[in-house]
Amino acid sequence: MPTVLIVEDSPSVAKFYTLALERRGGFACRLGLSADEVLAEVRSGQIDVVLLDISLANFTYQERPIDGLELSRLLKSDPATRRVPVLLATAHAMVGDRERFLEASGADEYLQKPIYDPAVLVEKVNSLLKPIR
Amino acid sequence: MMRRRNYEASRAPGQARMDDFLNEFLSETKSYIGLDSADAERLAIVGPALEPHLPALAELFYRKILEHPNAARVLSGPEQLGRLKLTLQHWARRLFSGCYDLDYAQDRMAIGRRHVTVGVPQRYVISAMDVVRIFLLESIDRIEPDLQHAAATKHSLNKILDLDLNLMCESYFITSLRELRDLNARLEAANLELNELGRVKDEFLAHTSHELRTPLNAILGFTKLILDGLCQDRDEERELLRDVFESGQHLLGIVNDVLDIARIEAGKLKLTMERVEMRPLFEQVLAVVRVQADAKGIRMVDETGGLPLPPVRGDAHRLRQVLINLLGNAVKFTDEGWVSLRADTEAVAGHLQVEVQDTGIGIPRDKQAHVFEKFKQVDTSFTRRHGGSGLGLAISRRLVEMMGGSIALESPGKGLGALVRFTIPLDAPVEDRPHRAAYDQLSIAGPSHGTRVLVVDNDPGFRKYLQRLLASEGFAVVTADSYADALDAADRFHPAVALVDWVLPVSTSLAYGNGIDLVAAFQQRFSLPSILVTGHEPARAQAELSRRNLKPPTPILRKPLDAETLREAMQKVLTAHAPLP
Repeated sequence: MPTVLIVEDSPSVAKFYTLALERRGGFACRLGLSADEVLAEVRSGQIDVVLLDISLANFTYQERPIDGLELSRLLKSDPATRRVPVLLATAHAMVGDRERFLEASGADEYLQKPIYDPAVLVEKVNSLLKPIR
Repeated sequence: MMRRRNYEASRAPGQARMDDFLNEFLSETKSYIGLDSADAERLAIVGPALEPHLPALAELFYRKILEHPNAARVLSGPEQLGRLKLTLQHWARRLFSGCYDLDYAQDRMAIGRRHVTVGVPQRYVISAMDVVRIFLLESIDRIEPDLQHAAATKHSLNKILDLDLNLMCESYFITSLRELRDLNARLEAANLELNELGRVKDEFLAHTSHELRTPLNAILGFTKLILDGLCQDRDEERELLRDVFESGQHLLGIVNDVLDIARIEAGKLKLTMERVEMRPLFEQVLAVVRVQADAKGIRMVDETGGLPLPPVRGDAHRLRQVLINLLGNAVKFTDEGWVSLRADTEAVAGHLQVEVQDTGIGIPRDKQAHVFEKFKQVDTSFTRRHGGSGLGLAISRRLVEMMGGSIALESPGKGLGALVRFTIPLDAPVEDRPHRAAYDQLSIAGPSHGTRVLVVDNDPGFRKYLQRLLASEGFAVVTADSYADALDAADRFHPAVALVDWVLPVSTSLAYGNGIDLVAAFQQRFSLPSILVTGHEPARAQAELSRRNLKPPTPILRKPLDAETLREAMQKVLTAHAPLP
């Protein structure tokens, strides 16, 4: 059963992702509640996809605030974690944001909030899983 | 002699340039007209004989000028006209002085400028000059028996009057040019401001879009989960629906904030000012906020419990909004400790002071100045931890100020908690006002039919000076020496304009504030335009006034104040506020 690491600072949105991915997609879900936790989880080799929000309240890395873009860059620059697909999910949805964010983060895909259809979310996660297997 | 105004004297390079220009203009026009020393001599000889005719000349001139409604409105009152007629005689006397130098030209330019300021169109001045010409030519015929001599003198007189007419027209031209240049500079400044505003609004739009999408994600996502039948049971469905409901409320709050700020910006937000009892209001608000505080494990401390709370004057619904905003913010930005609500009727005379203090994350010193600005959140980065419209404090400030209070924030720094303090005027029952009897004895100075002016100054000497000056200019004047007195006077006297001193006395009366508070109150309650008068640094007054964002802007005059400057400012304000025909 593939495992998705959910990194999202809004508890209700994190809850929605969990329910949608578990029940519609049959994935296992874990929550990454700090930058260190996220890095450790992905390094453990047990994460198949990272679902990553860009605005991350309260996330710090080496004692300074860190956002989803930088966290993704960290994952993509570490040989131990760079192969794990990262799916950005964000409510920043102005024109040009998609290109800007993918470029700045090195992430694999981008979803614009509101993401409310479990089927769409599951399909997106699946599309990231297949080429790697 | 020409009386130079202060600001011109201080702009030496501009004045020097002007002098150069005038010298050149003078010599060019003189040679074009053919005005020479023979003319000067002839005119100097005939001058004394014309002296007895000058009063009649002044009469004729002003009869013509007063045909224009603007002139009639501004140049009223027998005393003022009397002075102006003396000035005109002086002007006529100089025609025969035989000396047509730079000082002469400056004098003529100044007279022209005065007419421009009053708003008399050029053509009126030209025809009035024509009246003068005909009168003087006829006078020369009467006093000069030698026909040939009379003809030569009349020819010289025509030349000097041509020179005067040229100078007069030039002063109109230069004034228009200066006004156009000022206008252009203002437009450029406004343009820059608009660009900056556009940028801030783009940022705001992006931010708001983000804040709207987050609760929408929960609302639509949970609803879809339920509709798709992905819930295990009814209990789980209910739990998700509760989330949907809360996110909906959150969304509504953001939408309301955005609409509020838009309404305030457009000047469309109307307050219902009434007597408000604070106790029930505090209870209501605390009940709401306590739930949020309890959920976070923070103590909500009400320190207003035993206090007698006098009623205030404000909009109950908006006061509630301000309190919810401030207390809600305090809870939102506090993770442990307490949030406290305090009230004080002694701190600021005539006001209730309310304080909300917390032990939360505080605000870095360099950000404190901006927290009340709209669209500005302390942290707009992606790592910020607190969502929301970012408009709560901006809205609160505008609401408090519209109700006649003020708001300020203190925080020792990041991580050290914050304190927001605001004031709201107490509701002072009319019969309690100690100044009322005093007002009843006040009389109106000046002609009772004149344009009504309210003078507010606590310095009796300056008050008297303004009263006399304005009365002599044909205004009907009432004076007041305090905030409360002034509001009462404005209420009963219905002035067209108020002259307000910035510094007003600290009063034992219940209604209290400084001159800028008063200017704001006049504007809001009576749509009464004001001119602020101050002996202090005008830049500071300007900054204070800009913060209130009064429309149209209030002019500031600096003490000491001369008649002409006052007259110009009054004219400008009255013209700006005159009803359209």
